[in-house]
Amino acid sequence: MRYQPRWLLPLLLLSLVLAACAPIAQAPAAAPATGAKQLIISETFWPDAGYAIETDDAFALSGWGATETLLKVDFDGQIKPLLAESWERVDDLRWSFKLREGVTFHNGEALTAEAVVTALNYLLAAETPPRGLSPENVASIEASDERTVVITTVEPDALTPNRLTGPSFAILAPAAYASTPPAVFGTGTGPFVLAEEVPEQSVTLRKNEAYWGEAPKLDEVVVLAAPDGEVRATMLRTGEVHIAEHLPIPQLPLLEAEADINVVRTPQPRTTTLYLNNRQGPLADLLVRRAVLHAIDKRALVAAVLEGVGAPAAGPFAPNEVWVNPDLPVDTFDPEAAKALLAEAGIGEGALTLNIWTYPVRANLPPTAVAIQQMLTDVGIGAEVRIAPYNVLEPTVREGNYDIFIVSRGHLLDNYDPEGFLQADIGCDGSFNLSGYCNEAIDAKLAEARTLIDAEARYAIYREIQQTIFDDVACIWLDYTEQLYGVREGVLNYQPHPLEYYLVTPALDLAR
Amino acid sequence: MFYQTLIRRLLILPLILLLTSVAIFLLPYLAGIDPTLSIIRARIGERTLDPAAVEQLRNDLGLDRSLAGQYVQWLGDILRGDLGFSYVSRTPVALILGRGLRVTALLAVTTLGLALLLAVPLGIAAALRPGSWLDTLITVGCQLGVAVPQYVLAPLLILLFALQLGWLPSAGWRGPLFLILPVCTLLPGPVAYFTQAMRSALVEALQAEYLRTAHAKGLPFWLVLRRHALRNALIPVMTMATLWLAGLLGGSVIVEVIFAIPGLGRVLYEAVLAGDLPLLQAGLLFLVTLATLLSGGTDLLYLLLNPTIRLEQKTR
Repeated sequence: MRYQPRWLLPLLLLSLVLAACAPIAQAPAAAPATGAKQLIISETFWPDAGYAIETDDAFALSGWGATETLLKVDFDGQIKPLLAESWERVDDLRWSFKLREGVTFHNGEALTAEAVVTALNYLLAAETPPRGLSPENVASIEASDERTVVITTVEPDALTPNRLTGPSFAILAPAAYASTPPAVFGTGTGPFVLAEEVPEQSVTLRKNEAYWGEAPKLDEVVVLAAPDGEVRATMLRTGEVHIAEHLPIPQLPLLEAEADINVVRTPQPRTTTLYLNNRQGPLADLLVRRAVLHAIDKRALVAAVLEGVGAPAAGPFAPNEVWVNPDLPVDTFDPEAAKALLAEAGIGEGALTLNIWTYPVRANLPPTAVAIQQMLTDVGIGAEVRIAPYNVLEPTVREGNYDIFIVSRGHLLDNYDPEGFLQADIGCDGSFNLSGYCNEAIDAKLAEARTLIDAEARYAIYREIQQTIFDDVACIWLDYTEQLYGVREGVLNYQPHPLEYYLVTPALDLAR
Repeated sequence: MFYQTLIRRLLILPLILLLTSVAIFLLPYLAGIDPTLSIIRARIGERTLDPAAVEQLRNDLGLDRSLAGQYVQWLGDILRGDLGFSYVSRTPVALILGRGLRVTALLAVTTLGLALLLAVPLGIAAALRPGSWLDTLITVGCQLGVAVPQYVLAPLLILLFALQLGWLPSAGWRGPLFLILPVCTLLPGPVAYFTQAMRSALVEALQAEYLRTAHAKGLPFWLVLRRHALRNALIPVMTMATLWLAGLLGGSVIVEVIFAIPGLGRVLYEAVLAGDLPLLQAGLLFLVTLATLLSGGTDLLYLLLNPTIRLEQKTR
């Protein structure tokens, strides 16, 4: 019995109790002063790149009202002044931007042309620069006087002002750039100041008392990290948050049943797309691609997989986008035509098997793949579904060793103009040209569009291109995405932004 | 003899760790992840890629070198205590892991502490009258505790306590209240296992001959139980608790996702999704090392504490 550990049990229990009593490392979000208006929102895409402004983290900063760009895309899609009060094209290659007067950064520094030059040159030199601003297309960014910035492009680029609206093009105070990535706390110009952060958990923003524009209505905004859709929906239902974005479709009936929650359904510039291997394999044959198109019942997909949240697609762009080609047909489902096309291509029933690949992060994609597998089987095409993480599939797809890849593809990620998307996805050298589609006439048209200042003239070109890629079945566009946002009663002036650039605006308010 | 065993253990340990480190280093490559592409995707989402930037980044990160070269470099850095920087957030890996570990450690230790506090009395109650209705009830309860999965229990708890009653927050990690539902979700498993371990060990101990001797000496029953039987019965429970600690530190992912808790499990889960190799590899290595040390340490403690094991070894 002498070997029995007299001290062991008490010691272990004591240490357990001590550890359990240790305070949770993070302090709770401080309760606001009485009468202060505190809005709580949930954030789907929590910044995970150290708030590096050149990365997607910039979307969160802009959404929370902390940072601002020279120009903005307004809620109606128009380009409007923000930190720059006006802009003009000096000549084919040069654009000048006149800065707003009396703007100060949150740290007190004044917004000057030099500050803007520092900010944009940082992006130009960044390891992973945001698209539209690389040394290949921008020759120089200079201050011509205290309040004027001149950007010189390598080739004529009508979209230069458009590109500057992306959240990554936010201007931070010169002091921010002393570190890499630039420090974002206290260096923005927006209506709200980043005040406190609990890593991976929450961020608190306070009203910018010195804001240059309309005075912010809210005193404080708390942003909670909630990467999981079900978690966001529950937090909205319990009242832990006032606004929750990107709610899962299956939650719709539950949320609609709550009296004090309004669900806002907004079309997104995002299309579920079947990328077809145009380069090699059976789908290099236009007849087979057309057969696949006719085999797919898009309306059934929207009804069954999306539970009616979304719309069947014709081409890449949704009907509410100004550059859409309205003549493309949605109803292409025709199994008999599909069978006839297969016969014409010399493919007997059951002689062809296609691989359908997709990834699970977007919940609607795997069931879409399975539904399409069934639809192909119905016209005599065998199909095998493979579901794996996107990063695992992409390299093989890029090498051209696949048949069908289903992607949820946004087409306005860089600016409010689909030029970047068209160039990337169907340009012969496009950086997201998974289909391997190449049509030099389209490349020439896109190059022409980039020189056209007149937006309507550009859109006319985009419409022609849509017709061509539809006829060539470069891809098959399945459905347009609708996003579900939930807002609790008492939230005033909430408006979903078509590109999700802005959420916390000066006008956003809470009823007393 | 004891020291021989100790030395043997101490020699085997680094070998095990070295082998695991090779496996951990190769894992992402075997899974077909291209780290460079993953990093860029993590930073710019589905925005368009610049092939030149991909190559540049590959060179900058040294990912164009041979795998063996990368491994030696990686292991050397780790041995020097340099875990490197996350590819995605570009902050020190040690900082991220430390942050996650603090959160999960609190979760795991609270869970295990409560589990022991519940399991020890329950195990005693069941062992004192084996086969009684109380024993049956406890056994059935334990089976239920093992059977109900966390992804079923968690939403039920949220539904009841957050949504219907509104007593507790549904998700997050911003105060002691936020600890309650996750701990309640994690609790049934360890309570069930510990209770059963406690019960069978105590039943066995109560039948041992030395206990009969103790009774015969005229010692009161409770004293016999406390001084003789319980001490022996607690050893397997404690061993189990140590192993559970290692398990909970890395394996609370489901709870951490459902309750939006920024713990170690979720950090590693997200590192997998983002292809953040330095974070993933250092995190896995840390967990494996911890588990190896804990189980190795428990074995040694056994040797030190339990004369029978030592005697058995001597007679061999």
